[in-house]
Amino acid sequence: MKKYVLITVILCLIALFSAINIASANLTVTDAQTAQAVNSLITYKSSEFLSVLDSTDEIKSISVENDELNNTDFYKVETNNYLLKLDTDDKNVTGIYAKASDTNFTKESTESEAREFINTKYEQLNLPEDYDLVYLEKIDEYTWEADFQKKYGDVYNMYEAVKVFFTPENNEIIALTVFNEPYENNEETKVTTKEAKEIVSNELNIDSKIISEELTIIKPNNYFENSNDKDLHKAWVLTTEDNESIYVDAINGDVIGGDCINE
Amino acid sequence: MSKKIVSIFLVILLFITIFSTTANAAASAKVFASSKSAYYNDCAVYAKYGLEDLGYSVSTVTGGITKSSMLDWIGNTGNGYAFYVHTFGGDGYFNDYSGKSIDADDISGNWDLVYIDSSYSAKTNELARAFHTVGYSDRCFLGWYNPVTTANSNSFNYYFWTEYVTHATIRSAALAAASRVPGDGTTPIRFYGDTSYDGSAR
Repeated sequence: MKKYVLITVILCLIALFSAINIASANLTVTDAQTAQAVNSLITYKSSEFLSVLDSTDEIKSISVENDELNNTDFYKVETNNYLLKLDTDDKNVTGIYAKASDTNFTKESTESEAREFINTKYEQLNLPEDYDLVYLEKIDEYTWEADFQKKYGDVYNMYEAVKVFFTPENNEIIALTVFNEPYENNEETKVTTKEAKEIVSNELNIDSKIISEELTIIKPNNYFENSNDKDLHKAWVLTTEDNESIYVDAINGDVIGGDCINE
Repeated sequence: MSKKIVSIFLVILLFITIFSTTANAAASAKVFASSKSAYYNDCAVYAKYGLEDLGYSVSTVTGGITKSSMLDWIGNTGNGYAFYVHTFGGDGYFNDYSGKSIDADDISGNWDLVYIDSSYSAKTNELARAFHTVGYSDRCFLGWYNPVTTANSNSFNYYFWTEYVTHATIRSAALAAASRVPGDGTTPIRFYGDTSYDGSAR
């Protein structure tokens, strides 16, 4: 009987010792191990993205960079032929940029060829399904720009979008950026165009004739007044014949920013 | 005898000094940015950073930039091979602070890297040809083929000069930077010249 008690006690001690070891092992993952795991994930996600672009490029370097305009960090991955940008949170690829691009072609692609090419690539790259192709234009002889954006009611959000430059002739994505900034405050528009124009006329004393207006989702800026507001707003963008734009919040009527054309 | 030795030594020293000055002189670049744009100062800083990274010795003129100061640079007979100007303009011309235009006929010289940061500056290749950047290797011209807002050009310049220049050809760097600015058609950048040129100073 004593023998069994002794064996049980020994087994319990071994179990306890093992449990302590396992627990302490979990707590002692080193920074180097974490960095190695993150790098492996970044390498995997980058390679997966590159394989869709028929590239077997090896990764030369991985670094953390800062986008000062948006005050965000990102991973920058460099290969022989591409620069990639990855989100620091989920490690998803949010940008790919060719270091050089071929322009030696004999034929220009048609709009339907460009549309088919970019829609196919978009699907293969597993980019967000709920974005619409809102823009497809040729920027020079062979290169096209396409923009996919998410729609909120009647307006598209350019900050939740994919912007891409590509050449269908050689199956090439030259530059692609994924923007992922959702519009959280999806309220009904309360300010009409007429009211927005009155606000501009009364509050800013702008006499110049307004020649166009567009309801859009936009970020405030310091064009008229200093602002630290970084949220997205639904706003009327009113453009004057003097090439100035004024942003009027479409929910509360505040003037939240503006811009002018470099002409 | 000792006079002769000293003379020979001085002549050799003079030759070495002249030779080393000529051989190591970095190509120069000049950045002009007009205060009529809310973002002129930032754009000048980005451009200076990028051009220095490319190996240029850079000087900057900001604020009330004048037609004569830009023409002085355009007509330089020294080592100036790169030119960036952030201002207002149109197809085939660009302005100084007071609105005086510089057009293709005013331009001379052989340039390696020219970027006229004003609306429509690259709608046609008129300015690119005037700077002799088309049809040569290791030369290029950048501009906008449509209107561009000052905020969008500022964002483009940040990405172009600080993130992509020196990591890609100028054409690819421009398209990468253009893709970083939100909005469809917001960055109508156009490139003329040698598509394989990476912008490095000669």
